[in-house]
Amino acid sequence: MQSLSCSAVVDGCAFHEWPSSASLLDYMDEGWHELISPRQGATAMSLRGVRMLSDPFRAPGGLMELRNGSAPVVPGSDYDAFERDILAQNAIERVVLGYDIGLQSTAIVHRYLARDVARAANDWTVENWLARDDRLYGMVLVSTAIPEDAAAEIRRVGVNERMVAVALGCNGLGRPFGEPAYHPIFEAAEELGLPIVIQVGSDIASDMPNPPVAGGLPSTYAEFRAHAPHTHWAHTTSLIAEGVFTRFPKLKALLVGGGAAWIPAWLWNVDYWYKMTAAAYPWVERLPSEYFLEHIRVSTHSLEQPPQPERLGKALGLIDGIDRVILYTSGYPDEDWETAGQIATRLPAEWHERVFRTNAEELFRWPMRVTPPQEELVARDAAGGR
Amino acid sequence: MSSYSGPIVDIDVHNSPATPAEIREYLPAKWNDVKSLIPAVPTTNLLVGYFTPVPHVRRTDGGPPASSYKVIKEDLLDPFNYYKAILTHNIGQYPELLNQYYMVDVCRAANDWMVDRWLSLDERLAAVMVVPTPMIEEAVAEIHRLGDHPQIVGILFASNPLRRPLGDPIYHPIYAAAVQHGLAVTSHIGIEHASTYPAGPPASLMASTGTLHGSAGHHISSFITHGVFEKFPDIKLILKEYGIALLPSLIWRLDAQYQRLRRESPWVKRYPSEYMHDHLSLSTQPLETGERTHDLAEYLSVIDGIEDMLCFSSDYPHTSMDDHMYVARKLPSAWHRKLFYENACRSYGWPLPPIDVEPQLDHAVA
Repeated sequence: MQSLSCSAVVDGCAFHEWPSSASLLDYMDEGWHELISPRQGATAMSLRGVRMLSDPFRAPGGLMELRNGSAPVVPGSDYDAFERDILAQNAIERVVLGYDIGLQSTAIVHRYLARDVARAANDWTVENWLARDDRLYGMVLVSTAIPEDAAAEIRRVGVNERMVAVALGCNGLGRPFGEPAYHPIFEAAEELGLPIVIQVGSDIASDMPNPPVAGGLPSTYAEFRAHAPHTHWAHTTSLIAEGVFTRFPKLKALLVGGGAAWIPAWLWNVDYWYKMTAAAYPWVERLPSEYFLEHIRVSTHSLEQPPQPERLGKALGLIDGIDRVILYTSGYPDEDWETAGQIATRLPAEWHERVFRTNAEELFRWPMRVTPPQEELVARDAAGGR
Repeated sequence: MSSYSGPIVDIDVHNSPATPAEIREYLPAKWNDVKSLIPAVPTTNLLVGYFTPVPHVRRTDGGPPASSYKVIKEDLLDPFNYYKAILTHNIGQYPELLNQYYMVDVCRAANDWMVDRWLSLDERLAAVMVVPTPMIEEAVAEIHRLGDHPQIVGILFASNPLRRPLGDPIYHPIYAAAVQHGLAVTSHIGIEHASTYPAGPPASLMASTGTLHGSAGHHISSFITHGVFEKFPDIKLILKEYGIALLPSLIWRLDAQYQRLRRESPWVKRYPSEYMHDHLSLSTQPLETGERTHDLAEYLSVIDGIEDMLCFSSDYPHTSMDDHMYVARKLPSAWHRKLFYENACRSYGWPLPPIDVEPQLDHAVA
């Protein structure tokens, strides 16, 4: 078993959650209070994201799989536990906070509520998490159902230098992310130098018109987990085929939660079909694999665990430059989250510096890398950003 | 990696009627008033709505490519030591016809056309039959009607009007009938539909291909979770034109879910990789290739025994076809015997080809 050979670690995506609806209410307009915290006798709605919409993917019996046993606390909402489990690790230099359960809020069918929940979550994160430890960074959560408003939210919150990426959540229009309708979001993200984050699980809400895996709705949660990368594949080919990276050449995307062993096979397959039909996409100027290697980063969350660990590196190593693509994210507190030390046992030691540190340093828009100049953004915000 | 001159079983050859009228001839008279109005050969829903500049460049004999026995014989069967070629329609999406009653008769007509116009001409030809899958009872009846024909070797899903993963219990009566007649269950790309794509309908053919590996993986996993391999221990599942490089990560990811699978589907008795090894074959075309000649073989070989799941296919006459020499160069010579005929003979229940002269297999280390 090889150990981690990297002096400092950046966790590109650990999940934090708001503990209850009440936590967000302070950050929402008065009008929503009646809905979320109604007078006695009316039915309350929870903004945890679980109750608000129909349940995310259904485990046996139609229930959502309970994580960490049946703890009454929303996993990821306890800062003390987070500090103990993640921040206390010696090597941890920076952690980017994403959402797992909370991400489901972007699929709330009331799209104005979804938009305002995302706004509230952003303000709540800044005040309640980022303020507590300077190693913590955030992602701008957006609901993509109203792309113009999502773009405005990126410009509003993105000026905070501690917000280093954009969490896209579900595909709010029921369409893969390459669709032109989403482009205002990418325009804003590129303008602020923020990578977009596409996460497994954001497209599983049962309100979503399409299944979370290819071929129809699976009957078991196990299949959903095994086929986790399917939505990554759909969104990524869509981004490439629709020319998003041609139009926004500086945009980068991070895929979270779908493992990585599929990368060689998938690139070869998509390149194959692209070559067969290239004349249909004159705006696609290079092979899909070339766009992928330049613009896409893939997280270690749900990284495959072959019985012979060294075979993972052997398979991945067939793609030149793969060490620049894979990026450590813990996936905390998902039940299969992993420390850097655990991931390190099945990736070649010579990749560690890149996977656990450098790739994240290059991808996220850390403080000092805010572009365009902060003053300009503040001025625009004052002119009607929100 | 080398040349290959031994016997060949090609599990995916697409033959076409010269004109739709060829198949209409086999329709019952009750459809005389409408059969000229409804297309007898629906187009693949993989392609519908897309501008797809994919010409068929193979030579023809006047009609569409591969619409005459003579052309297939001269292009494939005679020059290349073909032991068997499995005809797979082009690509047999008749079940998508929206009038189900007409659809049932078109499926029957297409099968009769296949038997009459093709299988009777050459013993080397075999075929998969189209079944009216959305009409379960009719599908079962059609399998019983033709399933004992010696050259009918499988049933074909090239469309999936019910939009359910193929392991779904709705299809089990069809599988029971197929197994009774020793027919392999075949899925060919094209069964994807706008409503079954993850994250929404893709806007281009390229975007649709991004999840083809996923479609194959889900149909395989649904056979496992719905217990099809336990219920029908002799059933064979053949996937065509999804590629083969999808296997390593799929196997690792499915096996990793074994505990959840046991919990959610207690009839799952073995690791997914074990069911796959014993019941599954994938056609080699379209062969994924990396930058270097050996990339694909090295990637595949992270799974022990993966060569037992591969069957050569050309996809003739489509532009995207792979000829057998290309496949022979890309995959280790130690695998050639299995993938060029042994695996297919086992899956389809054929005797091994009589080999008068020991084929010149190159046993050089891959």
